[in-house]
Amino acid sequence: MLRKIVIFKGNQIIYKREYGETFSWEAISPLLTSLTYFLEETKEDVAADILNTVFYKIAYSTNKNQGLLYILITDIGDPDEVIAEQIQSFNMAVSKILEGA
Amino acid sequence: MNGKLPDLDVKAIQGIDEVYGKKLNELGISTIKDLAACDIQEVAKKTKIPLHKIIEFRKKARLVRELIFFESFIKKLAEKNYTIQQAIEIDIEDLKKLTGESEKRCLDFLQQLAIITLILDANVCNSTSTAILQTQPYVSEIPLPEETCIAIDEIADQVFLELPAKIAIIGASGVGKSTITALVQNEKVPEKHIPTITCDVDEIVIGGAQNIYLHDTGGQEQFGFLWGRWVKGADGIVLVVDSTKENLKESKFFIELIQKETPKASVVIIANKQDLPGALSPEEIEKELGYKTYPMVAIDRNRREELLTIFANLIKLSPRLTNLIPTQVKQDTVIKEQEREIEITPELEKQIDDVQKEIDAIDKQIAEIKEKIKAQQELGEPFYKLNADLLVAKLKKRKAQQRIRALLMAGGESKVLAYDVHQEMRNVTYVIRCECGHIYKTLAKIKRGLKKLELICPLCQTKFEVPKNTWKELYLAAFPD
Repeated sequence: MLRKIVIFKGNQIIYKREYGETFSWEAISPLLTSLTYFLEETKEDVAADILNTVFYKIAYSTNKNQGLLYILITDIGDPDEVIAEQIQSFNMAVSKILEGA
Repeated sequence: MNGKLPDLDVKAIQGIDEVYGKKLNELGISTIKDLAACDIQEVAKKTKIPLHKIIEFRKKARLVRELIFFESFIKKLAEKNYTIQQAIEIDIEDLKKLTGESEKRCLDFLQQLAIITLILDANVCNSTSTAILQTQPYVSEIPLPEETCIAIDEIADQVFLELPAKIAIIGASGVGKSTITALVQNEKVPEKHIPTITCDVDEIVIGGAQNIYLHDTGGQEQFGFLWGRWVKGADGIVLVVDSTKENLKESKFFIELIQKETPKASVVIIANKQDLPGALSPEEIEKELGYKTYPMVAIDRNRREELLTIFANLIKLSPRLTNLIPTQVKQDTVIKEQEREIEITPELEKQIDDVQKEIDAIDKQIAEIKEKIKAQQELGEPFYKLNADLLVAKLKKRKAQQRIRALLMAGGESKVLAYDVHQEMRNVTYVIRCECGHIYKTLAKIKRGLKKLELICPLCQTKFEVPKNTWKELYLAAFPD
């Protein structure tokens, strides 16, 4: 099950939506800030990458052109292929909206 | 000193002396936050500070971004005027007494504090209050305009539907699993025991969350070889017991099965048939089986809200979705009461037909996109853009299907079913049926001079304007003078 969606622009959260409880901000913040740091440093876009923690999966995808980092947090049982597919689709669809906004 | 850790002067960083500090200040880098964001090549070039030093300083400044101190700890220490150094040196037993927190939490806090010693100069630690450690996530929130957020919400909700949750209901035969399933779905409760053959899978709605799959498993022993498969991959497991001693013994087998097949799933126990004489209490069952146990009488329709809340808590749904459970129950009750022979007028038939044609066109579009995706997959080429188009097309279809439902349910109108005004505070509580069929409750404030009130349905995002007559009444009630 999808639990949380967060969109970063730089180190600012521009959008978030919660469907279920996940980590507290205290627990997850170091990881998220590392990912924003990663976005600054990396030269190429990441289509989809998935990190496994004990109870959840954290998927991320980037759009360097617009400086966006998309994060999906799902249950550990959700299949990687579906998560990867969905985060890429979400990246594309939302980047289009934000381009026009 | 007020403010937060990232706002400290750069000279607070270990290794940055007066000379380096002055050079950095001249470049406009005055706080730890500025240092964390600087371009190391540019700074090294302009200040002549060795590059490896700049890298080290910036790394320390960026470490600050990763520190989140427990607020309760900081508050207690700051109240007692502890400096950072005193907090670092505090004995764990004293910390436990001061904060009232567990040993584990105290150790975690002290571990975080230890990182500070790598960042800050010793003199700064000696002289600065722990109040400065009020760090927050280094990320700040600057939300997008509401309309953009609403557009993204729709796409996000579609992604949510593509990653469904699975809840498995297990237990011995005849304990009430199917009855509980029927209650969740607001269906007629079976009058006699009809054993479930293998497993029934139904899509259910809990509050504002759709696309949750409920697996009602067969409890008879002949299906025992399939139980492991049914619980595998479940996000939540409901073990139903009939609150008898015999069944309690049988249920221990299911506990072992869960621990073997899905150790990470959330588990609750429903102690059904609590209305029968001699039923064991939920506390006794919980003590015996080791999982949180809720009492239930599944044949009592009035307990549906309670049951939905148990399921919502099982998979830890967000309050945003769980808060809609009472509204969902009320809506389902109203819908059931209003189930009637709908008179399909020629006009209604045409409206439904038009929407159906739209859905047919979207289905065709979806099929074409799927073909293209298949072709791309066979060529080993990326198809992410097509996936995004598929997501948007499915969203359009869902909205069109909701419109048909709305046309059948409410004749295409949104209605205020009831309202009351709290005059003193000018608050108005509405119960509204939206054109999508969703009934929801909302609170709105009436300000003097406000000409109209616009509300947004939380399910389909339709904007709903309070009808003129109703608005006039409300305004007069709020401002009788």
